[in-house]
Amino acid sequence: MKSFSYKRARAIFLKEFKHIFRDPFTLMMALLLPLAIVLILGNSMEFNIKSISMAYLDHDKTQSSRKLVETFASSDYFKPYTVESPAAGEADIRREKARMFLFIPPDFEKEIMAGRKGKVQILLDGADNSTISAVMNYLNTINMNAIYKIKDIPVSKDSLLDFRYRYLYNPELNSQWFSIPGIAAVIIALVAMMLTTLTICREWETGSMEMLLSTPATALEIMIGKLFPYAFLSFGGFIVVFFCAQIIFGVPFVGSYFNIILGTLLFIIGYLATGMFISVVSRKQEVAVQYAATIGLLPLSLLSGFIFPIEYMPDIYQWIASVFPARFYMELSRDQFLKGSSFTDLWFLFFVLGMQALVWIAACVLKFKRSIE
Amino acid sequence: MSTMVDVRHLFVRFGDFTAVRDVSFTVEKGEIFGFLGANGAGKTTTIRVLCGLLLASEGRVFIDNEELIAGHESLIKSKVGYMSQHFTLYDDLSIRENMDFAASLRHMNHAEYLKNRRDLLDFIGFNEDLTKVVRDLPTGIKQEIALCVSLLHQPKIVFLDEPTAGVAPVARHRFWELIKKLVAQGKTIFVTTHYMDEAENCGRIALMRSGELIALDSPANLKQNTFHKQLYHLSPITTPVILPDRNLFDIWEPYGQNYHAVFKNDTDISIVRKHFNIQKISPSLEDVFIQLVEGQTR
Repeated sequence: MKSFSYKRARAIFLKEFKHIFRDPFTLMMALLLPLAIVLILGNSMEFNIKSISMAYLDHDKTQSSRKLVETFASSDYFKPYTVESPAAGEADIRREKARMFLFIPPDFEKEIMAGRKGKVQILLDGADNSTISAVMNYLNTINMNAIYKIKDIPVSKDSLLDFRYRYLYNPELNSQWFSIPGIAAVIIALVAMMLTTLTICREWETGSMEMLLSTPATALEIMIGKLFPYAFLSFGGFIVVFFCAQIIFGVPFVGSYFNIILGTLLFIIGYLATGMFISVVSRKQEVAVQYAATIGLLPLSLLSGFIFPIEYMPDIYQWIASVFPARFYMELSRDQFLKGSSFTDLWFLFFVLGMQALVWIAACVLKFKRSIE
Repeated sequence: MSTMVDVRHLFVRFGDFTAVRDVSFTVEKGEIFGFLGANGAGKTTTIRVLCGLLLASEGRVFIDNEELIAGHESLIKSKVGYMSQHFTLYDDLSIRENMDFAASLRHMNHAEYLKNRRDLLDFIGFNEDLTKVVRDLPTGIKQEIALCVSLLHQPKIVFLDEPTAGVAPVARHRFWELIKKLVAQGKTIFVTTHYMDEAENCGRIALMRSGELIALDSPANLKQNTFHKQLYHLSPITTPVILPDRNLFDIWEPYGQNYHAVFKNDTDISIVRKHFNIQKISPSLEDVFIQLVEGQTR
């Protein structure tokens, strides 16, 4: 027997092509997935983050201070708005209404005219590492442009303004403090989705679903009965991740246990229901895993805010990201670990996570009912 | 006898495909009713409708004089027991856990459940530890316990969809002894099987082909009505086998290495005798099945 037969290899080659062209999912994976990733990455990896919301308080109220604010406004990068007090500026950062707060002290112009460096204070949201490096780059450019506008002299290193930075919630800009709560969200979502992705398929494949359906058990009872054990299991996973974050990585937790537990439970239920929906739709375990990997992982990694900030993406990606609970939980998790906003500050996130969980469960039940009818 | 199942002009369609077409029959109380057909003939689809798992596209179904109406299947589900083609019990649960689960799904009173469980396990002669995990049980025992599970809520009729598929012959025989005992206790059994020897145990048999009911009668009548002429068993005596002219036969079917045949004219037997030993035989249910279900589709 020959060690390599062209005819045999060709026969296998042709057979494999037939499999590929008769399996729409493989075709989709091969052709549409790269397209989707390129589109998402292309738009989300926008390093020129623009329209960064900036609160400011001008206590100097001089031509120079106005020119400084004007420099921020005339760049496309910042969207300044004034606030009443430093506390209001800080509160806006906590609520994520502003990403930074610029405070111009009363003697700003006097200092510059005396040939000294004009000092301003800039508070930055240290809980958002994904935008902070871009913001810092812009601030250097702004500094040069501002001093040129104010003094109308060629810019030198000595003539620059003195920007005093303070990073709120993460004073040393520790990247783990930012990434670990995000990783926690991704892990919990992945585990939750994988747990339920197979559960309905398995019952169909073994035939046990028929036995279940021959009893008076309803679609809703089956769905709820299947979902909640995995919710407890996933919550156990969350507790492990939560303590790992604090003990091993030293990430502080300044939020409320009630907020994080409630948010996590809603988030887990949302993702369990997403996994179950995939299970109901696909009916076969191997197909379900492929769907979960594609439908689940892609939005989780690229459209959750884990790597790229959602708020600076084009609207269409923001809408797609809003379908999945990860986007909102990511915000909640980072907030509770580093900022500790109150329930009333975060009510909208809880509301959205709750609604998403309900919608996914309803979709599961309806799809399941239709599939058995 | 009164009627337990009454199916009237049943149609089941999946899009453009009609899986069950204008099927009507009745099953009497205390009967073993066999439902036979080739794969894809519509047997399982019909059973699913009768168990309330699937909605009929057209037609009416009555179980124990109660009409099966969309949205009110639970009424019917309390009257029927179902043992599916593929699944018997959850392998990773113990016998007791499987039975507890089935009882809970049907909201059974605990005392009633315990009594029924004991009675059913006695019925199948099972005295072993109920904490045994199902995966460790022999297939035959698994089937018997699955039968008990389907009977826990004391249904009036039990639907058994190929209950002995993959089960060893001795265990199959034992299983059918249990079915007969159940019928003696007044239960109605609706069974599908691919084993023709098992089908001989049925009081009546319905034969399905391509979604249609093509015959319904007792095994004896089916044999008599299908074969109007003498059936012969032909064993080849020459090697290689010299096949006779097929025009000599009304029926010519391979049967292992032999053949079952009906001659057009018995006078032609002498022509074939040169190459075959020929014996007169009574038709089996398998002959009927091949003739009615498979023969006509060839």
